[in-house]
Amino acid sequence: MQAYQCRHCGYESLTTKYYCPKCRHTEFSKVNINETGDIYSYTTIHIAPPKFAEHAPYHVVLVQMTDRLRVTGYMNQDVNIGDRVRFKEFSEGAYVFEKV
Amino acid sequence: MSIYVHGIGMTKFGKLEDKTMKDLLLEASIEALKDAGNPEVDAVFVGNFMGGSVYNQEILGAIVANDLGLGYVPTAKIEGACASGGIAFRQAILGILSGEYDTVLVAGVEKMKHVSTIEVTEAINAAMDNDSNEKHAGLTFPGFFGVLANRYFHETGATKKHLAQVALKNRENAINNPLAQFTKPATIEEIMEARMITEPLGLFDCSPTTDGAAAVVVSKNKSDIEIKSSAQASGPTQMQNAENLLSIPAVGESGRLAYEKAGLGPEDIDVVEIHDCFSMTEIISSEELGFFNRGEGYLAVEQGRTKPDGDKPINTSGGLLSKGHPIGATGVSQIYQITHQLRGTAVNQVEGAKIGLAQNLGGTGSYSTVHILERV
Ligand SMILES: [Zn+2]
Repeated sequence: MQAYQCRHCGYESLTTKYYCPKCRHTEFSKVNINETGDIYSYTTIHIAPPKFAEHAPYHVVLVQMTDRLRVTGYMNQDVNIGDRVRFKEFSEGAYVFEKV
Repeated sequence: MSIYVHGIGMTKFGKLEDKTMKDLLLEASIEALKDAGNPEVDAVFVGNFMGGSVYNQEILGAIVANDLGLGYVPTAKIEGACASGGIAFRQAILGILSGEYDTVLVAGVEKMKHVSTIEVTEAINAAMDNDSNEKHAGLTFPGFFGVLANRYFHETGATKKHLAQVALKNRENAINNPLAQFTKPATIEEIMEARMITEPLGLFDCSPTTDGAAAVVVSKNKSDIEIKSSAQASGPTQMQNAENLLSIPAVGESGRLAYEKAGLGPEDIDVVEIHDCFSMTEIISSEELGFFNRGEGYLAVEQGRTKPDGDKPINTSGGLLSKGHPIGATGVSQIYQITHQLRGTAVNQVEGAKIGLAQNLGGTGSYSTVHILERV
């Protein structure tokens, strides 16, 4: 799984940015990050947007990937805060996670 | 320079099938102008979010100026998602502060009940960052506050019952408000057992879709209600970019600026309208605004401190949860309620209220405005 790190202050982001939101520097390095993380929090969505209606109920998870980086993802397995999860695939613009 | 509220108006909130957006906008504006003694108006600002996308109606400012015979005055529609109304109010204040205008009409309006839930959800999702992976993960606005609520529970010991207590309080307040959308009593059990929207948030934890409008006339000429300060801040537009998930920095920063400009602190505020788009949001923002310590807002609710007879009454109007949430009108309707409180004519009147605060939120924390008003 790839992320970007500000060369000046170390801020980590999933995408490159024009400006680092922390220090406004403009140079980022690609970094590989460990593909497992911990569930920081989650919700179970029952009332979903049209595109997701057939999948409901499903989970949207916020995964702590590194000390500085959390990622919002999609899961169809039950989870709890603190559960260990692994990045499974990038599908239709979403990071999909599964239980370890 | 000091700026004052001169007139207020508000329509019924709810499903108003027989009224057009223009009807609502004009009705609230006329009431506010009458209340102000029909002054000359130098400009009009209208808060509105989805008039273009679901009602195919723009030029709202010019419609007001024309139909109310206000002359060739400048007008604009202000969009800031659910904070459109608060930002419109602030633009009026800034316009007067600049010296360009003496008296300004601010209105807020939304028509949402004529479209399907799917259409309205799509339109609301315009307030998310389209280029982000979050929308593609199926995240929604109630979803964001569901994620926040689960973490808040984890860190503080709060439970779903505390969310229900917020919803119940606001419903009890709305019962006394003839303009509110929901005036039917509810029980804590009913609220706890209602169908889930985005766990742990159920139906009663989420603000509804609503038709309605509100309006305010502000001026540099003196009245009994002075606007002590106006502040606005922006914040992260994505959940994964929140440094502290249990904080909404735009709320905290707009509050801090408003207190600083007014020379006041949270302890000086007698009555509050907070943007309770979700029950969880009211608790977090009550902490952000300094009324309670971080992680302790739920205890204040449990102890009844935020009821009209508590030491920090929040959402005496019924809040977004039960008064209703016509998006562009919400921020203006908060000023309507606070003004009534300071005049001593409010529903759920807080005895002797002298200083009031209104906080209006847009997106999941993208925008926040805070206004502090005082009876002088
Ligand atoms: Zn940086």
